[in-house]
Amino acid sequence: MSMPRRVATLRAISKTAGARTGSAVFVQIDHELQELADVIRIHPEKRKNLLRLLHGCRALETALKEMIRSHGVTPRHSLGPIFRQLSQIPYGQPGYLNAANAQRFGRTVRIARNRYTHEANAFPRSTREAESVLSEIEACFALTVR
Amino acid sequence: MTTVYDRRATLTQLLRRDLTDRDAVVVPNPDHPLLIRGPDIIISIEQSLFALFTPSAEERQSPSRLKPRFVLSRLALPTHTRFLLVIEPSGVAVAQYFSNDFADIIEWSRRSRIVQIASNKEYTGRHRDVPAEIIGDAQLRFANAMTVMHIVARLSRRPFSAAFAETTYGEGIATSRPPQMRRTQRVPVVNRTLAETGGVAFAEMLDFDVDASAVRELIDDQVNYSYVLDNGIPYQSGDASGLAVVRDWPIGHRDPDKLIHAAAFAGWAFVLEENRNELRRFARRLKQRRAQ
Repeated sequence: MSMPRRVATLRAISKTAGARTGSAVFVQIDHELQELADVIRIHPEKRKNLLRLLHGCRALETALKEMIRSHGVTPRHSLGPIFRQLSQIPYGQPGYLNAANAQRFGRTVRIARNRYTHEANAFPRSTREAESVLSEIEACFALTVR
Repeated sequence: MTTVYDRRATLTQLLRRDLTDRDAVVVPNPDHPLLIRGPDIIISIEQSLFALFTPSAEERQSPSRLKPRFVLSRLALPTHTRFLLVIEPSGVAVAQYFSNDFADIIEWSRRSRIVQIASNKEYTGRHRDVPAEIIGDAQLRFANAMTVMHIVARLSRRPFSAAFAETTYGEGIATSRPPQMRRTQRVPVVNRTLAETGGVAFAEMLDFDVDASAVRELIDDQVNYSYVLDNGIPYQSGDASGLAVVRDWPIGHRDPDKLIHAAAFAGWAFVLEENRNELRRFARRLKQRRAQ
C-alpha cells in the first residue's frame, strides 16, 4: 500500500531503531522508504507498481540484516537463511520472527524479489497484487524492526 | 468549538515547530500496518519513540473504549515506546482509568511539557518495557490466525484478492477497483461458550458488511475481554483468539490486506462460510502454543 502516512510511520520506527542499534545503514533504509513514498506519482501504473515492490523489498531486506547484526550475528546473504536467522533470535526480542511468520514472509518476499527483479519484462499483474505484497512487506517490517 | 481533531492538529504544529532542531520526526495520525487505530501522533527523536493519545469524545465518555487501541499499540510498537496521554478538562475519567498505565498524563493546558519530555534523553516517567515474552506471544497469535486464514484460502480456492474486483485497462495491466464501501450499523455478537470452538471466541458475520468498523468492534470486544493492564503492561487474562465466519474476505480501503492483518494481530481469523464445518480444526490451530 505505502501511502505517505504508512511510510512516515515506518520511517519513524526505523529511525529510532537505527539510533538504538547504532547502525548507520538505517540512513540508507530511510532513503529507500522515502523512495517508496515518492514513486506513488509515477506513471504508467505498471512501472509504479514495480518500483514500489523494488523499494519495499530493498528496505525490508536491508533492515532485516541490520536487526540480525544487532544481535552480534553476521547476516547470511540469501533470503531463506536470513529468515531462518530471524527465527533464531531470542523469543520476542527485536528482529524475532516465529517460524510460521518467517516462512510466510520469507516466501512472499522471495517470490516478489525473484520474479520482479530478475525476470525481463516481469511486472505485478495488478495494483492489487502489488499492494498485497507490499502489505506483507510492511507487516514484516513492523514486526521485526523495533 | 474546538474538536479533538483541531487539538491534534495544533499539537502536531507545536511539536514540529519546537522539535525541529532536535531532528525529530512527528507523524500525525500514523498508519501502522497491524493496527486499525493506533496512537494519534508518534514522535521519533534520537533513540526515543513517543506515542501520543488524545482521546476522542467517545473514549472520554467511556474510557474502556480507549483500552483496545492502547493495548494493541503497546504490543505493535517497539517495547521502549513511551506512551503519553493528553487530556482535556473533560478527560478526568479517562485519566483516572489509566492512571498508572501511561508514562505520563499531560493536561492540554500544559501541552508544551511534551516538548520537554521528548527532548529529555533520560525521560522514562512511569514507563515500563513490555516483556519480550508478551511481544512473542502476540506475534505467535498473529501467526496462528494468518495460518488459519491461509488454510481457508487454500481449501476454498479463494485467495484474499478474490474479494476484490479487478478490471484490465491501459497497457493491458489489470488494475484493482476500489471496493464498494458500505457501513454496518450493528455490533457483532461474540460467543465464548461454543463447544465446537472449545473456548475460542466465535462470531457469526454472514449478514455483515465486514468493514473497518465491524472488524474494530470484534477486536475491541476481544481485547477488553482477554487483557488486563497492570502499570501499562498488557497481560493476557483469557483466550485472545477468535474465529469469525464471513461470506467473503474483508478488504481495506487503501491497504487491501490491512483488515486481515489487524484482525489477526488481535487474534481473530476469518473463516469463509463454505469452510465452517472445519471450525473445530481451526480452533485447535489457533490455540497452538510456543514450542518449548
